[in-house]
Amino acid sequence: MSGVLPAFVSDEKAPPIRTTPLHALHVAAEGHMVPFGGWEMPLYYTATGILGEHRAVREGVGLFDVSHMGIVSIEGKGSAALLARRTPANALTTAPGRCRYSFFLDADARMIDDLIFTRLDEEAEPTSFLFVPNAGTTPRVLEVILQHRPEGCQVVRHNGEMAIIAVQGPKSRQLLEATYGWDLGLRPYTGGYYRFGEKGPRHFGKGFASRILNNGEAFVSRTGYTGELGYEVFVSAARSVELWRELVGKGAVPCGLGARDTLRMEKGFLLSGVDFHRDRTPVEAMMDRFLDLDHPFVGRDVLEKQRNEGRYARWTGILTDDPSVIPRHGSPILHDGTPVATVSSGCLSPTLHQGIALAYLPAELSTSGTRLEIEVRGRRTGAKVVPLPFVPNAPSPSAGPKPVHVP
Amino acid sequence: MTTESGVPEELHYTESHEWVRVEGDLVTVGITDHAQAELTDVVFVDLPAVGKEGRPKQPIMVLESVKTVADIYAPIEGKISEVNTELKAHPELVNKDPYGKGWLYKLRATGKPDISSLLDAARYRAHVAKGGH
Repeated sequence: MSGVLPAFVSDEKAPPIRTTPLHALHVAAEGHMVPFGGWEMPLYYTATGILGEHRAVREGVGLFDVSHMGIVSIEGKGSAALLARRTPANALTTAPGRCRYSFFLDADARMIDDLIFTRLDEEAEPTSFLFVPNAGTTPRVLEVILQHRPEGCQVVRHNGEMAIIAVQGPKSRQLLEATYGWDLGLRPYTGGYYRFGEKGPRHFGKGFASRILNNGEAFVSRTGYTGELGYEVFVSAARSVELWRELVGKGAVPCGLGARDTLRMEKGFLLSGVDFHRDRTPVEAMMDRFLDLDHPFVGRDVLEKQRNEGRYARWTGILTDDPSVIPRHGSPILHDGTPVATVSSGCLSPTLHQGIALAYLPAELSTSGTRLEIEVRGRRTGAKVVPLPFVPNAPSPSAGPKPVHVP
Repeated sequence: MTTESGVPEELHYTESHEWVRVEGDLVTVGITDHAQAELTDVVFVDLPAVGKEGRPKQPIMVLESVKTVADIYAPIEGKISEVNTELKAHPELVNKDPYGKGWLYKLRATGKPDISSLLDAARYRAHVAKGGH
């Protein structure tokens, strides 16, 4: 009998467990540490809990240690061609400083991982990229990248010597600018090098590792996984500890994986390893807007065929009627009493106080307003298909175009 | 979520992480501080009906947290005599005060409460320390 205690499993089978440069700070702050993707990470902190952390990000500013994600530089001749071949985002036509959300596909276009790569140079031809896959999948993704690496292209993993701190929430820009003197007029999904105490951003150029590790610069991108205004700050391991302390000292709330999960579910974002594990394509995940069909890449034919045929199960948001029946991964979804799918991700939305579920539904059931039922442990609730995101995006507090929130 | 952490000496415990207070034939049940920390924020408490019969090792109610759902067992045979209705509006009490305001239910034991299968504080601490789930 297992009783109350669940296992928060992601990838517990893969020892040894690694720790990030901020691990000691998490433990000292009473982080509830759990294994995740081969790393020991905070699920939440005792003083705040998942709900407190969730609220901090929606209303103020939260800090996430995301140093468990792969931190990989891909530099030199052939880098862009390598990435362009391996992901549907066209690295060859990506502008300097642009961050691209994309996918790592197998030959059948099934998602092995989702990731962000950022172009770090401003040469005539792109030669330098920062590449960030998910923690648990990084080894597999790197294996493939290294297999296909052309001569003259250097692929280096920086986990251990570097950290990533995600600063997320409506007050994130204000906090970072006030603390470090930066001008963060970055547009959504762009990034730049910043020196502490200088307005920045600085010129792009070669030597990502040396700039971060030797020159003490930070690479800051306007990216995140919460759907709020937010930034991800890449710094040296040593600097990351100070940065975390400084921002917490100014009121940023440390947040763990639990809030990260509920925040992303409210926005309908995919979680690698839960919402796909080499079984779904980006077309099924409704990610067409991230597919550059202007260049050849692994899996492209399958994606085009699937799109043309049109009869694929698709990523859909479902809102439940009864808040006491909370949809969970694996809960059956019924239509007219017949099981039609299972919940991929679900929770009681902390913002809406309603059950939310994400699932791949048959095309004919995926239109907004379709009535369904979800069954959880023998109890059923009515539910309906709604457009994503569940929680609407706040207008950008900064001037400029409305942010496009993507995972 | 801060709690008076630890394992109070005066209570009994189950391997499934309930605490049990026995006063005559009245048995009060909650979940331990360790259990609430593992569960994460409780968001819904599905309380049993008063009068429902509980038997050891059988689920009698359900706690839903942000991350998961957990069955709660009746540690001793008896009938539910009272439930903590406060938890309907304030499920967070289970996290904030698991040994106090976060109690779950009381039951009247059938006959003299049989506590022989329950753990005392020291044995429960050892159970947690060796990673007992």
